[in-house]
Amino acid sequence: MHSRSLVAIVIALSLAPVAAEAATYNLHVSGVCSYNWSDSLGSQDWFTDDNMGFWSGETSVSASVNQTSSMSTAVADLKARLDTYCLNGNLCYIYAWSNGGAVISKVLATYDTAWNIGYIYTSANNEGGSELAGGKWLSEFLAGCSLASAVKPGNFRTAWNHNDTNGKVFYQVGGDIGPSWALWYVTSGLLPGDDDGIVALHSAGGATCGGSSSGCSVTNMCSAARWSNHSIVGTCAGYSLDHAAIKRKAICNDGGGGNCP
Amino acid sequence: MRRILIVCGLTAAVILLVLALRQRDSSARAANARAVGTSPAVAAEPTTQRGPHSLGTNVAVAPSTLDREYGETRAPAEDPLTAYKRINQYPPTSRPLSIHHDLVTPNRRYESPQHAAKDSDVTFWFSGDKGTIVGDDVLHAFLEVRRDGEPIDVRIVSATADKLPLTFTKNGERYVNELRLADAQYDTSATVNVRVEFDYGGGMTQEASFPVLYTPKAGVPARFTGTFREAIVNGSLVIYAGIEVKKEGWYLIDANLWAGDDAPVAWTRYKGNLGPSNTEVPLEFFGKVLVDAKSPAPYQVRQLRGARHVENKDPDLENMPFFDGTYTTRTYPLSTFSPAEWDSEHKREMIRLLSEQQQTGRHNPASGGDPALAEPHGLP
Repeated sequence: MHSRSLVAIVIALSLAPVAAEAATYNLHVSGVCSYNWSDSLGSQDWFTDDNMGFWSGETSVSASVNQTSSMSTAVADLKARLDTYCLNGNLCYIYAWSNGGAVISKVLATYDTAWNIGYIYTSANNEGGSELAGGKWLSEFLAGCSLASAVKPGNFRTAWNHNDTNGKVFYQVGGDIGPSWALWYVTSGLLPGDDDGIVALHSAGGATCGGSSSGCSVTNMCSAARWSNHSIVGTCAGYSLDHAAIKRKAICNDGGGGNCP
Repeated sequence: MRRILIVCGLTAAVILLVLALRQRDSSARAANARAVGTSPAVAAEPTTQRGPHSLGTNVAVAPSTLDREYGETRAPAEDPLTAYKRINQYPPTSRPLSIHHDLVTPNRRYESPQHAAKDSDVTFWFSGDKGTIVGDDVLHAFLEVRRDGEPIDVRIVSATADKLPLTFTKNGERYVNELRLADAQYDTSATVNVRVEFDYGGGMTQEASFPVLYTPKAGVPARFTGTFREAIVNGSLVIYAGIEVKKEGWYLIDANLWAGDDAPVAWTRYKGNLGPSNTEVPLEFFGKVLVDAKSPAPYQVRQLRGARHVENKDPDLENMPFFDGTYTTRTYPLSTFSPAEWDSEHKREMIRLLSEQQQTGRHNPASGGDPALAEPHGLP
């Protein structure tokens, strides 16, 4: 009994400062084959701008999430990060690029934890999967990892209820490189509708890919039927940015400063 | 150096796929223009019906019904506080059902026709009728190959489901296979790679594949018993679905609610722990969702499905067998249900935090709006 009381006192003392020092954290979740915001080929500076942005009085955090082996590992990792930063009176904003959007979506659909998340702001959200994952294209561009072959629509769209966002708001920007971008011309040809060379707008815009006619061929994210709580910001047709350049578009749009693609 | 090599390689391949891009959209539209409707029955008293498996077929939803959903996914974007309040007038897991094609047809597949890598005049479509299968379920896989839009014969070089060899036979314009994994050596859930390689003439070959989540009988964590009861709890309709739980753990169980006139009404999702001592799972359809839908009862509960989530296991889902029946509720006047918005301690805390943030002027994705967002789908 005595030891229990002691434990209770220690716990109470350890929690009290946390509650008193509630903070705002901006968590940055990168894409497939990454461990952090600023690693893997898809996150190296020559390929992407990894500036996490700055908001006065707030803390930017590179979320440590293993996106190299399986979605289940990535989901467990991100859940742990949310438990660390987004409870006990803290407030979080989630900035997710590419497959990071899929990971946060699955976390929110799977668990019912009352995380204090202001919103999720995605750039090139791969929540609906990329058709390129069926071949070797993602591995070619992203230095290769076993998860790269699994981030396809057939795995992602049926694996969780994307409409259950745990009551959180998704803001989304997508990219459409158009027909003249030689670097991405081949991969773009393998994606339905418009795309940024890696992720199609059906995924970046959270389209349900249903109905009898349009399917997953999306050219206007705003007019596509979308999962609940998934809004489009910036432009309905997608920014003229490729998958690498759009990485920090959400950060820039949201006042995080730095170079604005 | 690596970037230069990538650029050179891709540029060289551009010429080969120029025509592929031009033809892609028309082929995809033609292939996607196939939908099947359903028309279930309605009863006046509570009933349970076992029916055909309706989880893998498309359901046509009227445009007027689709428009209603834009009240949930508004564009142009709202500021975070406004959006949060609007979204959370309903609980996160009990919400209106309308354009959610993914929920209405929860076990559909999403592959679409693609161009052959070596010949842009050739398209192939390799897919099936179910996204996941459980136990004795059969997935009807198909391969459809066209040249200039017309179906062509091909030679199947090889076909497998992981290491299990498959045989595809010609059936009309398609090559088909009835994939049954019950006799394969799986003792737990697995993501099975269904793969085919075919020769479409002159020795030109193409590979295609799709994944399917399979849960063998031995891995089934729980099943629906087909028994139901219902109650009005705090102004909401709660359906208690009978279950038999074999494995204790964290469960995710989904269901849809349809109106007597076959209009989509609501979806619900149970998230919680279940064990062998649990004999039923509560599926809440929130009162305000029913009031706002203005759809007539009796309602029908359909598309009941669920899974056990196992953290850090790959795949992390063990599916329950789909319940292919329909439960029809009693008839209720709309006044039975509460029009009150959802409330919780966490919701009040989030509104406080977001209100404080709003005063700082930071974090407002809606403030950098684009005039292009003035799209035609406004709120009703």
